[in-house]
Amino acid sequence: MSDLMSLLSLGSNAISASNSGVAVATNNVANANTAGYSREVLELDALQPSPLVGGVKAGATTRTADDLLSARIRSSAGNLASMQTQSDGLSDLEQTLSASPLSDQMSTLFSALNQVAASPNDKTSRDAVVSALQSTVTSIHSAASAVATAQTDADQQVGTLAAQANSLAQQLARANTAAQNGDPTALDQRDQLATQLSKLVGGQATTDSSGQMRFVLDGGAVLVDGQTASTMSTKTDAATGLTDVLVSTGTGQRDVTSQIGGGQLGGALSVRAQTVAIAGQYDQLAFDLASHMNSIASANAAPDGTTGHDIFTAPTGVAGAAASLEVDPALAASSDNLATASPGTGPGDSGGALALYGLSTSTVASGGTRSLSDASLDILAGLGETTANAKASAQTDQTVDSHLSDLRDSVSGVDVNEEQANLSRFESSVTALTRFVSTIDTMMTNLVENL
Amino acid sequence: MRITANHLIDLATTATQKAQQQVADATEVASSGLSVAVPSDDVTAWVSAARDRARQALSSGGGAAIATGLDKLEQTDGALSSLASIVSNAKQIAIQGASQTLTGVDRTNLAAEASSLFEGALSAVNAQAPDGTYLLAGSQSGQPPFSATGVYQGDSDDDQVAMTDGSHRTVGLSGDVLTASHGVDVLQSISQLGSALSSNDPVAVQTAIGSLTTAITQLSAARAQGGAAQAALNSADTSRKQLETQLDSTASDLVQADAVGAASKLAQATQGLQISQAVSAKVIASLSSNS
Repeated sequence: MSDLMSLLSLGSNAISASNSGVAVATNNVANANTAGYSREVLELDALQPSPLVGGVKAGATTRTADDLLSARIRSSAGNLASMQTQSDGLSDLEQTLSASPLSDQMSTLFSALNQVAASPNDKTSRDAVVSALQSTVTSIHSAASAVATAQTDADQQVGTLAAQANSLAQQLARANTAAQNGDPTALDQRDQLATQLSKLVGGQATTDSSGQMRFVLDGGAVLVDGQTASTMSTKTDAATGLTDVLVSTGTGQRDVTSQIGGGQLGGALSVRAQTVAIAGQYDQLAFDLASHMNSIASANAAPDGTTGHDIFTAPTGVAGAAASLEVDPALAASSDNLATASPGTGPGDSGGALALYGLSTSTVASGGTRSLSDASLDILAGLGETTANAKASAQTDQTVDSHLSDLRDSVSGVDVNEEQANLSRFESSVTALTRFVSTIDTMMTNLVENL
Repeated sequence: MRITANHLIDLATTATQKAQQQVADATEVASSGLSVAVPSDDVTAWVSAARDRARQALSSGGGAAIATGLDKLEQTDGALSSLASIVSNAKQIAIQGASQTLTGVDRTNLAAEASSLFEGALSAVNAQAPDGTYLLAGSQSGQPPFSATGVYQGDSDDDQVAMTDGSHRTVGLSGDVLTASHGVDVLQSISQLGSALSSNDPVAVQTAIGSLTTAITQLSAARAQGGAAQAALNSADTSRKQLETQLDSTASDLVQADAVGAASKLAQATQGLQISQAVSAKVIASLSSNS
């Protein structure tokens, strides 16, 4: 009798274990399309025979996840987001600047000067030079404006991303608390949040021995430490006018602007740095153009024999030279102020015009190493090189990210067919066990009736 | 490796997206005709093509300057040609005037002809270009180069234009070539003939013949100088056109797409997309039937 009771208990435990299996498989199927969900596996523990009857019971439900793989996914996501942000931001700027290269405008200007050399007194030719100068100024203004807009966009993006990172950091700290409290869904949620945070600001997340996740930015600043989230804030740099990124520490705030390289934030900072460099290059080009043209023009003579005429308003310095470049007001008012003659000659001399035309090939830009036209193309070549690198890196990172995502799916993803098989297996077990329990029950009834 | 249904769908979706991107890229190349549209497509090619375009534009601008210069040289040659004809006539008059058989009245009549020739010569050397400038004035182009008495008031400045290689070509001659610094003062030679005839001085007329002979040679040399300048400009113009053709061809080779190749790639990409879409549909249908 006692053996029959043991068998009845065995059947009962086994049915319970199979029902748990059905529940786990059903939950897996239900979450098959839930982003970041890691499939669960029910462990079945065999019961030791004592002495003859053993059995089975439902063990722990294990989450199938690979922490090392998750860390690689986060790292890859940060790199990919950074490169995509750079690629997108720089591509837009490149498209704008290369649509109408400054070198084309400069050719028009120098051609007009050559035409004046052939016919120095021709009013139409002289007016064409002034018109070409105005167009050149407009082109330089447009380029400077496009760069400034890209810089402003990237700077605003820095502020927005920092605010978003704060929200995610706080959610990650809360997920740490939930995981500490045993919430089974918290681990997947935490992985998801850490990946999103990596996409946003780069950095890396690690899990300590107590199971708490710590998120550290590039450069070592801690954004999330267990259940505590630091605050990421921004402030405008008084010297540059650009947005700096700060992270609160126990004793104050740490400037992490120059340290963040990953994530969209790192990408935006990189784009911003590029625009600062390009703006400086256009300023230098405008300064070189204005200085050298003025220098030549002022040493030569207008048709009336007067000297000291400028082509552009004299630049006060390199910084801001592109945006402030203007045709000299006197010249803009009358092309008679164009210094086309050598000093001491008559109005028909073209020495001044030819000297100005000489700037088309003279190496007066980039510290005396490049012509003005080549210097303008160098800016676009540098931008193109950086953009091409960002595009190529983004493609590579996309491939790596895709591969890692496949690996994660292979380890943690739910396969509906597999879960259907598990369901069938556990359902069959329940059916068989129900019959087994029924048989034992019949045996016990017969035994009791025959007593 | 476990392959889940979601993974299969992701694979199919990714493959279709890639195929769509390839179609979009091929369409852009085929429709724009450019294989290199922005620097990042191919930095070296784009910059080389942009530099070639800039040189081409500069060269083309040089072509306009050359055309202006050629016009000016032709107009100058026209003036010198008229002057040469006048000087020849003056020499004929001088030869007649030097004859011992001529009376004072005859020489007075010839003097009137010489005076008329002087006026014609003055008009020829003070010729103006269509823009109103004086062709032979050098840099002093705003005023007549020769005074009413035939004195040169201009300078020796010759107009020049620049070539794309940085060299300069002459596009004008100054009236300096008609002054004593190049032989004799041409206008003064005619004027002196008139004076000699008026004063009935056969010896002075004889002297004027020598001056006028030198003047004719001098004018020939000046016209030859102008002709050489024209030839140099024409040669530069031919070189310029060849350079522009070459630059255009090089720039096109660098950034423009081969039309047949672009169309072929578009066809391939479109076919790839169709295949990808068909495979995706099969994968999804297969997974649906399983479930």
